[in-house]
Amino acid sequence: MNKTPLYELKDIKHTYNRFMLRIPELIIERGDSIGLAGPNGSGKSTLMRLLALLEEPAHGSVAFHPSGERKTSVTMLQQDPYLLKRSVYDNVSYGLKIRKDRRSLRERVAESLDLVNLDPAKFMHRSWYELSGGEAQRVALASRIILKPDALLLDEPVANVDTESSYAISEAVKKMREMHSTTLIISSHDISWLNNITDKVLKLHNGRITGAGNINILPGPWIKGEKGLWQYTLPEGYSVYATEPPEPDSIGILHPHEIIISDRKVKNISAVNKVPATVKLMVKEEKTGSIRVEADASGRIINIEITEESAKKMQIIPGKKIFLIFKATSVIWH
Amino acid sequence: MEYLAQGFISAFKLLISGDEQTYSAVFTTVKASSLSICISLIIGLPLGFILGYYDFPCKKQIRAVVDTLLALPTVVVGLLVYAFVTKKGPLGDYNLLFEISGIVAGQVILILPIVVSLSATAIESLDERLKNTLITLGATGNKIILSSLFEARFAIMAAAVNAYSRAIAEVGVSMMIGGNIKWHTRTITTAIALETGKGQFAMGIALGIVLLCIGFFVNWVLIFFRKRA
Repeated sequence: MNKTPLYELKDIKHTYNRFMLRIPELIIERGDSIGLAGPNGSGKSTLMRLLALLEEPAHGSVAFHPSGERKTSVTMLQQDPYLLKRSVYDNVSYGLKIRKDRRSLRERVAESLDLVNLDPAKFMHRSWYELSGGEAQRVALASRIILKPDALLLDEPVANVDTESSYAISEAVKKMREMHSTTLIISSHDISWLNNITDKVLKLHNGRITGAGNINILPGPWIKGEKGLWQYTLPEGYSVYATEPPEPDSIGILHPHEIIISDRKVKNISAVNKVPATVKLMVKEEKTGSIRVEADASGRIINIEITEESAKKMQIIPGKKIFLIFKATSVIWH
Repeated sequence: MEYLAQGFISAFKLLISGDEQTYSAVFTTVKASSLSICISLIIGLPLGFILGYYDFPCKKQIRAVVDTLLALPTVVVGLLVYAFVTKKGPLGDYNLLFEISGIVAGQVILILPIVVSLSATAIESLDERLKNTLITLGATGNKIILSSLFEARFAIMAAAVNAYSRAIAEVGVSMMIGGNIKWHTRTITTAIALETGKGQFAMGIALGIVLLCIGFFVNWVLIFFRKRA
């Protein structure tokens, strides 16, 4: 795979709603598969719009180095896609028709529909209003896949679809990448899904990329407490302790592997943080083989990574009460 | 009431027998209003698109003026156009007075605001996601405009039907500019006014039936296309 930059973002400052997206530097290489995760309002969609060239940044630059024509080499599937008020065939072939590329159009439309697991014979002549939400999402994806873009951007592609459509979308995107080395940039709330489909997940918070992977974000504000430690109060009142932050509103990063799970409150250990939590979700990460545990710690979801053995040994199951143990120095600053 | 019933019977006889005077008025009406709607759509659709799609200074004020012109009385249009096309007027040399072309000019002024206003509303009502969808599929410039108009096709067809209905039903412009000249500029509406004045209810009713039939046919075409789509 030819690893040359497809996107180079420099010194981006772009206002959206009441927030500002700030990205000092971001390079996305050709053929990369990048996930964007973060809560609502974190800037995922704004970053997607900049990468889709739908908007120019207010400050800084988005350099895009496509293999073909700039505007036609990137395409984005919006969270709630809009289908043109035409047949499925007309929707899927629209992008090619406006490029005046009518070679074997019917066959190519059929191939794209096949790729998203929609039977061409059954769906090709259906009207836009004869499709379910998941089918409409897949038709919208087929309309992008047929263009074979350098960059395919998907904004929350499986947020509002059924399991069958979610699986079909995942498979189509994977095949698309395999077949055409397409650069994928996908935003989603579903970290497990992102981990499964992308090579790297960037976490956004308040318009900043705070890190990669399953990191936990502790957004502050941080208040000076006892023994030179600073404390952040979780939504339901429990406090987390850390070393002195650069600013009181600095974002604290807590890596999942820095957290130890205990099924009882442990005394006589140096770690100051012993946060009670409830296991909400357990997912086996296909790439690493580890178990990602999502736990509700006083109103905030914290990711922890444990081995399958540990999970079995401690009989970790959803609903189990546990303690999250980590040192104040485990919280690092963004 | 007997004369009304008699009028209806005579009207059907006139229509079935292919009365030349009746059909002359029908053809004049269809010709003038069809030309008017074609010209209005050619001018009005781009203007409506601009008004509905783009933001520019004084847009609200322009919109208010266009919307006000929807209620333009036909006789006022007739009067204005007459002032321009009469021999003494600035367009007197073009010999538009008492000609179908003069009626067409008046009807265009009458129905253009309908086309502009309703097509602007149709464009404004388009889904906000459409523009981004078109751009992300690679559309630019004219392709965005044409695709947006196509997406709004049902509302635009409704605007066209509305405007056409106003053109075929108006009497002020046809009477004042056309002059109601038999075999030449006599339209259905001017003929109804004349025949009713003369007490010739049969022809008035016959023409009224034709007018309603045209209106029904135009609306049926719109419904047909909607259902087909």
